[in-house]
Amino acid sequence: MSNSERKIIFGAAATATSLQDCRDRVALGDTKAFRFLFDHFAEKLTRFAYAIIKDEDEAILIMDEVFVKVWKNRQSIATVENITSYLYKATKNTALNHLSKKAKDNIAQPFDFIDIYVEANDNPEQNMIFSETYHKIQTAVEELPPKCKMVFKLVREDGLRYKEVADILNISVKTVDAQMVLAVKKISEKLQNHFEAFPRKKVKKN
Amino acid sequence: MKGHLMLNERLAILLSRKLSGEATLEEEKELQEWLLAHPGDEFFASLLQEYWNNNHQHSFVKEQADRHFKAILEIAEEEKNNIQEASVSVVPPVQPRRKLFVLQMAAAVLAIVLGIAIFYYFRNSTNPVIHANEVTATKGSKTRIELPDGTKVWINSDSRLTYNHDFNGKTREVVLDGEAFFDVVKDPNRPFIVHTNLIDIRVLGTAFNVKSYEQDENVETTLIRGLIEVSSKIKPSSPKIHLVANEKLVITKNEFTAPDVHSLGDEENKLSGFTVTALPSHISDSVLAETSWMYNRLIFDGESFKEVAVKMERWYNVKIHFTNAQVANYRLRGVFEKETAEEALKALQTIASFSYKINVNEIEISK
Repeated sequence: MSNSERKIIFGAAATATSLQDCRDRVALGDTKAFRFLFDHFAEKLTRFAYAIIKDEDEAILIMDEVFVKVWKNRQSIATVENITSYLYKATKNTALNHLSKKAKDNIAQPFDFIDIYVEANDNPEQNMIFSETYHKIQTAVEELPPKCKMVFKLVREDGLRYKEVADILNISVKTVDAQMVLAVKKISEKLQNHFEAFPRKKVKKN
Repeated sequence: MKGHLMLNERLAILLSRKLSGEATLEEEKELQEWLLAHPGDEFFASLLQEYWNNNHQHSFVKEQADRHFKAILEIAEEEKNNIQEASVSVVPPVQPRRKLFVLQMAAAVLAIVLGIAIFYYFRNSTNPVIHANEVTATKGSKTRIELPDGTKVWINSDSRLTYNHDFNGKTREVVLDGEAFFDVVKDPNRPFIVHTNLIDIRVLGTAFNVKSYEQDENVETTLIRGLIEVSSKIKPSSPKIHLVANEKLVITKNEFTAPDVHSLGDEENKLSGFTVTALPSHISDSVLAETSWMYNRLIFDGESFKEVAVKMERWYNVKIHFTNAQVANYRLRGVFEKETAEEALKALQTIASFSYKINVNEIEISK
């Protein structure tokens, strides 16, 4: 168990390093590094944009726009501290621009109404029992409050650090932490009924 | 303390941090000890961990990613060059690189843009082109010219191309009424723009065809290589339509020009009345219906007789009338190469039941 944990920690560190390395190479005009960046983030940023703009075609346009900006201004990208946060923030700003252009509204608290789509897993190899639980958890995640779901999704699906999520959503690391705790609690509550279906659990509760 | 099923605050904190990879070593140890002592929580934690790990990401299919990536590079370079040009305008424009151009020609796959420009564009609009050159191909004829920058243009029947005499501005701009095929010399410092009544087509170094007849109902844009950017003249601030290789844009004129139904808000800037479809990629440009005219071929593929007749009118410089609506709506498929108008009609009679009368340049088609 401790072995696999170490592996995960190492893996995350390696990714962060290679992304920063990637940033430096992009700044020098390396298209291969830029392609790596694109492959790593295109889908994630599109989904992130979709959460804001609620329009698939436009979400893709926004993603394109973000990468066009990055490549156009690649010389200045070397000064970016965290390329991951930078890309998400650029996506957020571009999407909000599109949105405000569309709605001509004052968007004071964007993330209170932004509801994110969470990746569903349709892996057929899942064993039956887990699959059922999986869907229960999935449903519980879908029912999380928007901000909480957004945080949960960015951490789990996009593998972002609390600091990055805080930076992107313009909230504090404390809030990210609190939202994650809330998510885990809500999931646990929603699963109660499911757990109670097991006789063993029922006996214990009584 | 509540039962095993209720997650206490501390456990929720430890578990969420552990999953997120944000837990300290102490916190991990604390969690592990708690779970060992509480099998019910351990069960929940393992389910959640399994859910957490089971997170395979969808990503763009490679083809889609390739197209987007290519478009992103080209647009970025083009925009970058525009900025540079503005700031260092003293530097003379870069000469087109001949070698690259030859390579480009060797690899020549065609890009086609079919658009519509309305006749009165030339009469009513303030034409930005001063001292314009005008090249016209009459009905039944075609012509080919080379623009001052080396760009080759094939002009189809009943079409007119107008361009600035010296062609020396920061952009290379032409105005088209009718149909033409452009093989544009690549010059990133000077974008090539085709103006039609409905749309402007910005070319990012490629070869393409524009069809832009007043009487046609559709605007069509097809691209086989490279990238073009299409913007609406009616809604200039709406998002541009980018076409990449093997894509065809069809604009329905009526819908495209129709004012927005929504008077307020979010749909204002959206373009409607157009579709983008993929072309079969293995077909060469001489067989493709959109470019076949350059090879003296008239191809129609499932179009109505009425639509074929419009093509034939331009092709043969004739007038065609239908006296029967049913006949006009026949769907036809075929290729004409060297046939005369009469031979073509005879050939069509073998696949469709109709009769015709020819009176000099007038053809009447009936049941």
